[in-house]
Amino acid sequence: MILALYALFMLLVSVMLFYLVRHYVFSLVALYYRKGQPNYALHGLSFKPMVSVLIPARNEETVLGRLLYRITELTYPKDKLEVIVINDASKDQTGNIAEDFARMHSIIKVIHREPSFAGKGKPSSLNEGLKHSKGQILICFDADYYPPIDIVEKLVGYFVDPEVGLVQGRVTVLNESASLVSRLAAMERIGGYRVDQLARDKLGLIPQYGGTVGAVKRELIEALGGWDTSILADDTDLTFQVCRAGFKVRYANGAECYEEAVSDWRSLWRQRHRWAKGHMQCFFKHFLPVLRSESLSLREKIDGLLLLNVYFLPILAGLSWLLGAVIFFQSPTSWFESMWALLPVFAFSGVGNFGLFFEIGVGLYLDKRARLSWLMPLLLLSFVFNVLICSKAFLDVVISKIARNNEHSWNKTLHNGDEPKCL
Amino acid sequence: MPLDSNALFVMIIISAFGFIVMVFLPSIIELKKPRDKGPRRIRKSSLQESVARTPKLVPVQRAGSCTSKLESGDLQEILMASGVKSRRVNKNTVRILEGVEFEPGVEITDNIVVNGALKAGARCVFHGSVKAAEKAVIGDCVVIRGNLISLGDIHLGDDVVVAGSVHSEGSAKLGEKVFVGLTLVAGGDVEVYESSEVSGSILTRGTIKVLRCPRVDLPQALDEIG
Repeated sequence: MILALYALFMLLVSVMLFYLVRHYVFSLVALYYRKGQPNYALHGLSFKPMVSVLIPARNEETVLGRLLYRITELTYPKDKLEVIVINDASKDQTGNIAEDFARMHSIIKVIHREPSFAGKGKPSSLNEGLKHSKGQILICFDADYYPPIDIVEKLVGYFVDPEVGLVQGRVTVLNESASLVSRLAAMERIGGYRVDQLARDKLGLIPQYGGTVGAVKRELIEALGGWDTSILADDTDLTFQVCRAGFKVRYANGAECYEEAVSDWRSLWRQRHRWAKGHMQCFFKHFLPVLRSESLSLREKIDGLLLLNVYFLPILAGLSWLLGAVIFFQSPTSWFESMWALLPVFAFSGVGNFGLFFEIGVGLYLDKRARLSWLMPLLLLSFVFNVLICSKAFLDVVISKIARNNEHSWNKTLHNGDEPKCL
Repeated sequence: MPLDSNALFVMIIISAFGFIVMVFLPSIIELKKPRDKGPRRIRKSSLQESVARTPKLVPVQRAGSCTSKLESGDLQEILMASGVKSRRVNKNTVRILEGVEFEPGVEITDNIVVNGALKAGARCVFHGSVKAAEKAVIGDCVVIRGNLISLGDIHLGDDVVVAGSVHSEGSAKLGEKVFVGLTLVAGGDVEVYESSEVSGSILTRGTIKVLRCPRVDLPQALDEIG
């Protein structure tokens, strides 16, 4: 029995160490690797296809006005730009705010969804927006985002490459100072985008589309049948659908955009639970097709599978902690010799999208945010939190699979609309 | 005096506690008195600042001598007949798994992505975009209706028309009376004849050399002068 526990423990530790090496490599690539794939952002200066900006909004009165005002300042030619706000049967002033802007600016259109069709999540709203849009390129923004004025050019420039189907920009947390939670989220974003996504892009792997600050070819999304409404992580789903369709996903580090991060633990739980559950759905949907895909190279397949597995890692880490504790107390050798059973406790730094100690450290260094790195030990809190979230999400997915229930409720993230000085 | 195991255990516990306090102390200080200057400032319109030099080139008359019979057909069939390996990656794009040389006068309707060097003979017509992982040499009078991208150098012959953008990770040499519909971006030096036209900007990390036009064969010119 104890031997079986040892074997399982070693397997889990090996998986975690594999991810640790992976993140270490990504960190080194972000620091020192200067080559990589071409940066096409400059082509956005003259390459100006028709662009539709889709903004799904449900009860976003605190933030929507700020985004729409910014949208009117974009430098992209107005005759090549349309902005579609999809008001998902909001119960607050969201619809009125959007209508006010639409009256003043002809590029802005508003679609009001009937309550009977509304509340089914972002993918459903985006599909509605797709029907009413005419752009060759579709760009999605969540209502709490605040883009720089040339973001459209920076994203669209990448489409000069015929292989590119999807482009993801960088996300930076706007309300960092609001709370500890938002500061931890800011650090995760820095590690995740400035290092992880950048390295994956440079190495020709699969950067992940984040669902917002991203652009996709219209012909591609139409060929895919729009956004899959049964998946909670529409972004991860689209990433893999695009790759399997033979297109590339690119990450544009220069296309940087502010977002309002969640600022309390309860909201964080709801948001991450949705992400984790959606990501796990994607795992079951795409694991085998990615493995069999002829469009993906071997390294893309490996990276894709590691990416799909990422939300299971906190569960595996939690399991290895339990196993480590059992082995520690059950081991026939002395307690000192059993100290190695604590290895998984320290190995969390290399696991998944959360405890990326190397990546976050390197990202903070590259962003010249040395002082913020003082908070890095607190990422342990975030990681423990994620172990719980992912475990709960895993149980939910398994139960819904057993019950053959494809209906998933969309837990919307609420925004405060805090406006820091930097705006 | 040797330590017994209980004393060692207590010492390790105390050390572990001290270690944890030491690790978390900076976090507590930063939480109490935040000195981080976040959030990060996003630069305003950095893209426009990148346009450092845009030489004004003389607009040209389009050469009328570049029409000829074109051989059109399914790209994969043409490639298969030549023994070149290829794979359709999506509806509009064919990936050629090695370097390729197109005969003069070939017409291609798909986007093509070449895993090696690309050489296109004179008067070829590409209705989509063209991407090469290595050097791209484009013959005279070639028409590319999409964009041209090379991860190596790009050589464009005379009278080439690229309706979209040209992107070279290496150098770019443009022949006489070349037309580029959008921007030309190059990682290395750019050589361009003054009779060529780039509708957008020319952006390079290297130098831009504008050559006089027309090219003059000096001995022949001296003969003509008499």
